[in-house]
Amino acid sequence: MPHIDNTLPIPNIITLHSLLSGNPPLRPSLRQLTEPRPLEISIASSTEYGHIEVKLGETYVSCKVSAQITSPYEDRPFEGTFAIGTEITPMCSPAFTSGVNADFSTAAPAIVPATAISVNNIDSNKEGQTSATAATNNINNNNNNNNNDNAVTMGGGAVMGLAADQAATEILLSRLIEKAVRRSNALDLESLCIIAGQKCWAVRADVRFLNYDGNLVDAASVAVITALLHYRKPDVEVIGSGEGSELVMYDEKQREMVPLSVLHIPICVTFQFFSTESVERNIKGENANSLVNNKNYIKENSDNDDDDLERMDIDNDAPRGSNEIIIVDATAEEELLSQGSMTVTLNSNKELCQISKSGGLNVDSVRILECCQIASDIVNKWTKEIKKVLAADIEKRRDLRAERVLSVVNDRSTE
Amino acid sequence: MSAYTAKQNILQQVDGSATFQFSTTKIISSITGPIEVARPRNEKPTEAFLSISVRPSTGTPTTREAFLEVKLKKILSCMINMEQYPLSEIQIVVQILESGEREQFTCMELACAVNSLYLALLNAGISLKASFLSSFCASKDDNIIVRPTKEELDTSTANHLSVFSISDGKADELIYSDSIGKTTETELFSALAAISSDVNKINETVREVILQSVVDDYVWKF
Amino acid sequence: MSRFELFSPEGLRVDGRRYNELRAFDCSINTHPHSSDGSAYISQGNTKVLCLIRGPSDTLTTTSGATASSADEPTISVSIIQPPYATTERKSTSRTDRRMAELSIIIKRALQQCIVKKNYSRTLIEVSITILQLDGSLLPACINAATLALIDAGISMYDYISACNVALYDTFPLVDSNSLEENDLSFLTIGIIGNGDKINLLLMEDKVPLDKLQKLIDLGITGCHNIRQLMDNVVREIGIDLLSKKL
Repeated sequence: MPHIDNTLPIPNIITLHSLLSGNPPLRPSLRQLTEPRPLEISIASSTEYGHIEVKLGETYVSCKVSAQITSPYEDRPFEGTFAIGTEITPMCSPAFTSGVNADFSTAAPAIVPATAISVNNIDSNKEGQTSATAATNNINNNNNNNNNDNAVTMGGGAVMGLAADQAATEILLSRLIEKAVRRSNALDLESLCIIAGQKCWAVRADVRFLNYDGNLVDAASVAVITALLHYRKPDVEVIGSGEGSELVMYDEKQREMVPLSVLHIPICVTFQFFSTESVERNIKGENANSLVNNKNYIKENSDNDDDDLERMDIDNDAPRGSNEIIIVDATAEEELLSQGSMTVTLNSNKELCQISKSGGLNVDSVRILECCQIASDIVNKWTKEIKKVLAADIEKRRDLRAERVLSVVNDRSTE
Repeated sequence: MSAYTAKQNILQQVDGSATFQFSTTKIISSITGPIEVARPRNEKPTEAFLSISVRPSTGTPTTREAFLEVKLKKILSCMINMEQYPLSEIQIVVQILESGEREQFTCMELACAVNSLYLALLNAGISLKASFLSSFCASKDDNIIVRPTKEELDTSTANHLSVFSISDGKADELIYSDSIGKTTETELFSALAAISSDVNKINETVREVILQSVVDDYVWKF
Repeated sequence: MSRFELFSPEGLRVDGRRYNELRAFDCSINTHPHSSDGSAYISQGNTKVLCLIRGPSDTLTTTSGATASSADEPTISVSIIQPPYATTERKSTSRTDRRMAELSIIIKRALQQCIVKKNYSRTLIEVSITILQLDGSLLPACINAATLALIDAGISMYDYISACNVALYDTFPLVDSNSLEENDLSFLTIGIIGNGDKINLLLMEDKVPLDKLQKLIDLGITGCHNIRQLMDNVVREIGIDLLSKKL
């Protein structure tokens, strides 16, 4: 049976080791762990509105916003509609096949697991000892062979990696963008209403993934929100009222186009997690004596919550192994080797719009809060970038328009 | 007559890619192949299997895109040396970035797609029987307008699209011709003549684009 | 906003709970011994979920074409059924519902991390979850039920995976939210393997100010630990019971 992923880049184990064992850990590109690749936003068309191309390193995404007039949903007469199309074609990487979405309903129950790559740990002896002590606390009698525990399993937790199967990737990706932009009310749907219950705008953002080099989500979120900010819909006017009312749409030459009302700028930042620890140690931590604590804990009646809280607090103060390596804006290679990922969506008002970390490596809550801070800085940087590009474009278009108006006046005067 | 631009070798993950733009119509194409056939039932023992998917600029693919896919498959399967790649697949994706014409027309997009695919196939190193390029025109009141604008297309009585093979820098054989609308035989022939001379013009630019990308790719400079 | 007072000045919630109080938690395992290898029923307040597990079985027996068996880990398939009677409005969910598909992928990924994968290479573990009644905290209930069912099936795990929801009312985090709270408030789902404070699962769909996240996570971790304890108590009771029968 042919493998779909026969065209994947072969993950470089040396790359991973340089990442994991270095002090400080290094990325293959020598980029800082928490530094994203340069973001390049460009307006694809000089005449049309709402077509944006975003390059994040080699990752290349374009987004086109369009709007049509339709009738609103019956249960939401005062709102327009907004849909985001995110289809992954083989164009962005041959590892994706087209049309998976089409037979998605049949593919859903049988989900193919991520292919895993095993790497033997360098200092296996040390790891072996610690995991042996940690292994004392077991619920099910898993008589683990400690030598096997030294293996670090890769790829299993990659949410957006090619290593994960495509159906799952597509679903998670589209849901992520949807949650980040649509659910967080980035676009004011009520402003899209024209005549309540009869006519409204249907806005659609189509994301096209052109080239894959990791981190499609972040690039796509920037592309969608920039395209929404850039888009101008034609001005409409309702003339008359009641039965005989008419809807008049003015084109660009007649009236200035109207921007969409975008309430805030949510941007996704994706983190990838790596760890040199075994799964065992990652779960149990250095807290091998917790079993003792637990026994006391069971004897007491757990009715008194406050007491439990205190107990937990004491427990938390104990030092735990949290040597996860966290990187932002992974490349395809890094994504392929990652053991877990998390996507955080924030806006520049320091509001979290969405967090999604499903499975993968277990990460300390403190590290997650750190991640959010890092994300916040990146979001501020990218928001500035977006605003800069849009402002430059408005300037350019204003000049163009002024020229056009002048030429019209000139034409008239010569006639 | 609308301007055109072309660029090769844009994407890294695929074997070949190119964009082609006729004024407001812009298309990007990618080629991967020859690769193993993704679905075993598509495997052909004597020739390559072309999987073509056309993605619209907005919305989900409709019958219109399926229609384009069928036409492109016809054109490409007679231009690619299919026998050279038995039991394998050539994966082709055509993404329409800007449509530039109304829904009822397909000629701008099809011509653009053919030209971008030609560049992408060259970029991917797929063996071709001949070079080929395409152009289109509209006819209105006995006038032939080569590469009409959106508005000219709207008011025309018929539109013609054809693909010519190129030999010695000149349009040679007619590969594919497609006319929609009310037209006469003489009009059709003059349209074909107009398109073939336009193809000659496009060829000059396209050759420069190819030369440029060959120069860019050539790493062993002295 | 809502006509209910979701959190009164006296510190009581809409159903009379305190901020850190879980809803009535009840669970039983081995509820369907004939039709499954492992089964569990869980109720958290009015959210009632049933989970059945088949496996680990041979991957070859399944006809689903795409399942290529992986050499060093089990294939876990998760299917979730939400019948129309689960919610107050009888709406049937379509099979292609993206939200449900996402949910099943999330559950699969969470379980993948707590099962001792290397013991189950080239096997298939089928998890089917039925939502009997829904009143908030859907994902946590599914995950907790799946944990118990996995234990019942005798599949080796590193530890329990327990999950709970935390809603945010102004500045107060409210643990184990019900549907009334979830309709009006932002909430976070948190999942933890074992009793550490390393987070396996973290999901949030609504807006929350960044500085409130810490509070939510802290209360969520405590909630998860409490739920783990409740589940552990039940499992141990049953274990003792089984042992006494053997003797």
